[in-house]
Amino acid sequence: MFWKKSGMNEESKGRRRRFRMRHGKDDEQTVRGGGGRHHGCSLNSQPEGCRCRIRSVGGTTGVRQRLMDLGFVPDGKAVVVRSAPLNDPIQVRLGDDNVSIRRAEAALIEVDDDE
Amino acid sequence: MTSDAPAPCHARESATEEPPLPGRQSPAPASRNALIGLAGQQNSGKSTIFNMLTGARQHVANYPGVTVDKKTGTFSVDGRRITLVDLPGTYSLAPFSLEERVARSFLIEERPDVVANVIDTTSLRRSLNLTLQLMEMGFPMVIALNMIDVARRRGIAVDAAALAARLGIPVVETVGRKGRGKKELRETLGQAALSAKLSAGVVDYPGLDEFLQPIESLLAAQGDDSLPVPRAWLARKLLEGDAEAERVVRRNGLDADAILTRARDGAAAFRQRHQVSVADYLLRRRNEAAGEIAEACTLRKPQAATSISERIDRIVLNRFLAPFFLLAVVYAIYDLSIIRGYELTTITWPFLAAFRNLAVDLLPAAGFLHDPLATSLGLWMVDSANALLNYVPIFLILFALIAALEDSGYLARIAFMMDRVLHRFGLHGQSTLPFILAGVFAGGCAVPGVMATKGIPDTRARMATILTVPFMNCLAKVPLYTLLLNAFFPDNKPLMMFFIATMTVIAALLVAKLLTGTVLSGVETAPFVMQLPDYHLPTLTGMLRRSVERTWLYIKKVGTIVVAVSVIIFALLQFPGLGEERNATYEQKAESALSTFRKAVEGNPHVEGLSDERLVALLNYFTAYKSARLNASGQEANAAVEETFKTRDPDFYPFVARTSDKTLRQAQGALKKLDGERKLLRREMKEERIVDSFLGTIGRGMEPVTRYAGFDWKINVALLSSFAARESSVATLGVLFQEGADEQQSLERRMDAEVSSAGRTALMATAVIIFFSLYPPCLATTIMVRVQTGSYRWMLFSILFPTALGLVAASTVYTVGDLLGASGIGAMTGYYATIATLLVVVGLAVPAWRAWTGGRPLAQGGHS
Repeated sequence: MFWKKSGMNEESKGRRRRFRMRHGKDDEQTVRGGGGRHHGCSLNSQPEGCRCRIRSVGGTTGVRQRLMDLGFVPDGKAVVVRSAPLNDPIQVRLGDDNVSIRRAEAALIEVDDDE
Repeated sequence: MTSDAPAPCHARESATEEPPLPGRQSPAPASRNALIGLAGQQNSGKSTIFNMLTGARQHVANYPGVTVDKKTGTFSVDGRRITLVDLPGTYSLAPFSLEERVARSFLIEERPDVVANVIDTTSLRRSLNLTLQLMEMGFPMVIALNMIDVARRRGIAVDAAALAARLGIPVVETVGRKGRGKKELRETLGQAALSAKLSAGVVDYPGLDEFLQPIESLLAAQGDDSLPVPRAWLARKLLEGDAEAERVVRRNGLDADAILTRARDGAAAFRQRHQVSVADYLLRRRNEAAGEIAEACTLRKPQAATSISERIDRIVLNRFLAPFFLLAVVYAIYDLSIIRGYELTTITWPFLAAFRNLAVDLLPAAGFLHDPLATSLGLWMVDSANALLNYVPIFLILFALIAALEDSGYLARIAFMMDRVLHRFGLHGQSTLPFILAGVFAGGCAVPGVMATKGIPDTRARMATILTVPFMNCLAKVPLYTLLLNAFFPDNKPLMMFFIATMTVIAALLVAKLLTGTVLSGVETAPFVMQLPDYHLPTLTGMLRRSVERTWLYIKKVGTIVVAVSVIIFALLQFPGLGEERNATYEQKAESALSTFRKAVEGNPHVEGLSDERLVALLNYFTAYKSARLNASGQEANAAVEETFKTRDPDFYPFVARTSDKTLRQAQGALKKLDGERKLLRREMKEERIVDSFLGTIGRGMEPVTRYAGFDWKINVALLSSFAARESSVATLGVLFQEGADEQQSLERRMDAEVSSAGRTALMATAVIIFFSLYPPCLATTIMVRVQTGSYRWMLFSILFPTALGLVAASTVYTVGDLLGASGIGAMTGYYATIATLLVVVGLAVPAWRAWTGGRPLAQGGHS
């Protein structure tokens, strides 16, 4: 499994570079952790196709309630399916559900890489 | 009751051991009617279950004080009548959205005998989140495990028996779309109403007990027997700091201050101890429990790599292909409903015209010059109603297509694609549909547009959408545009059409941004988190049902009010009416026309001895015949008209029938001439009446203000009357620009000639177009704004703000254009360039990446 995992990382690094070019330097922080597992990245900074595990959901209680109602629950699995044609929002698969979420709110969700 | 209150979390307790709820009536006897609340999440197929249970016996109204639809239906089980209330679709029962608050207060205040909970089997975990909350409120419950067919296709099998055992609630498998499980569900609901076995919470909240206990004992000590909710639920909600729970305490005459103080202290202590708020703790525990139960009751077969929906999405949401699909769908809707629907109105219009002719027959007959008030008012009302009903075919198609869009799941994708742009201007992905309906391309209607804002979950964006949707170019604005373009811009029509079609969208976006930044800044907003449901094939019955339902609602709500207000406009245009002197003048003219006629037919045996009264009747017969012939098309219809008029009055028929009799033809010719005279006189009178009418006076009174925009009183009157219905702007202008009508000149030519002779130019037309594009919604739309915002103040705002905005924009363009000596097209180009630049500046002011990373410390926390 190890080779597969590093392969995935190579790919995601490439995507992340492209992603960064599109969005400017504010994403620098998310790339910094680059080599291995990215602890404490936000869902927003995950590239398309990335599978991750949700660590925590931030925001005010109202926002958090809404996010958790739709399935963004701690320890749940999330797959970034695609971003909208104009890059925002993104489509995330949670179990069997597909959910659309703006990048602003995706930034409130902390995730770990999960593969 | 003393402090030995039941444990706060009756974990795994069987429901039968639950002590009876204080204050609740004993189980309803079999003879009594039962009230059942239907709860479920969005996209759970709740409405299909509702339709399945109640059939056609439904009634739609609003929940008191809010704009949320309340659907009620009835059915009977074992001779017992059951009323089913459809609760708004909610993901949970938290107090954060209007729908959730409405659903919850219904449960608390109405205390339904049974709560039926519809669950989407394909996402059991998420659905259980609501179920667990409902259970904690202590109702006899039944679960409808819906969409089992879809789940099965996806390799998901939910063990209904295990779920029922786990929750202590009967579970019925259903497929709402196909009506499967109807009988079982009805029977189970009936039994639940009889047994009145209450559900109990099954979620453990370890560590919360000691904080709940003091509140519960205080509640018990104060004698909470009359409370409509379980004590444990109330205590937990108080600890959460829930406003509705506080209200319950206050309303039931308990010592609220003592209880609330204790709750606040408890919440603070809990937070100190566990480093998490009570609300968050409950949320997490419930989610964990939902996950665990779902896991235990679900059997999952290994799945195919990609679902069909995902495969469709790969094409439909592809970055490069998506715009084409979106445009194709929007165009298809536009073409099928607006274009084809409009063609359909040529088929339906004869029925409305026949209705009008019927009214003409029923109402008192017209005089030579003057009509009885009942007749003119009656016909005016029929005309107003007809103008509205004429759109019914369009609406039927439009609503059916929208239902198909919603059911298919593509509507959510449209919101997904458009959100980026719309959000930038304070709107929402789901604002797309209202804008399409209202006429992003020329030709829509703001009424269904405003109606369609109902689904937008973000209140602020929803308000912004409601207030900007009327800027779109509705079907009824088109005639005035066409008129002005033909009259003033014959060479630049395509360019002007492009300007008109796009500048309204630009204006709407800018205004939305302005409003959300100012008057709407305090309004509640919500995160854009939306399910992208799987694609479904929409069912024909579902489409038809929704289409008829919504169209009927439109007719009922808008129709009655439009007819009522048309009476007011009628009065404003009709009164004070002509003075005695002018009336005498017209009488004289009428006399002379009649005597000319008499002279022309002197000695004609067919007219000999015809009294004046009979002559007027003959003229009315003549008019009715002509209008019927105009309405009829095809040989058969024509023959039918002939037949009708032959039987209606055999004496008069020779005057309209084709004939070779010389004397008869002479009489026919004279009659035709007299009819023409009569029409001309009536039109002149009408114009004079309008000039002196209240509306005309108002129009002239507005000239000092509107002159900066180049509008004279005629334009003012046309614009004012178009408030009742847009269509009337052209009709009123037609009456006002009369000169030359006899020479068969078109209205375009007449307007052009008159306005040019007054020293004005196409610049005025540009000002009118700009004003009209920003003009306040028509009456029907403002009524819908009232319905959708639930407030007369917003309705008033939706009228006054665009008027002011339109006047300022039109005046600026006219005045500046006049100073610079700009042509009409030049001024329009300048205006367009200005707002387009403004749009770009506002749109790009905040770069996208800063919008979602800036100002949110949480987003960056934890990276280092």
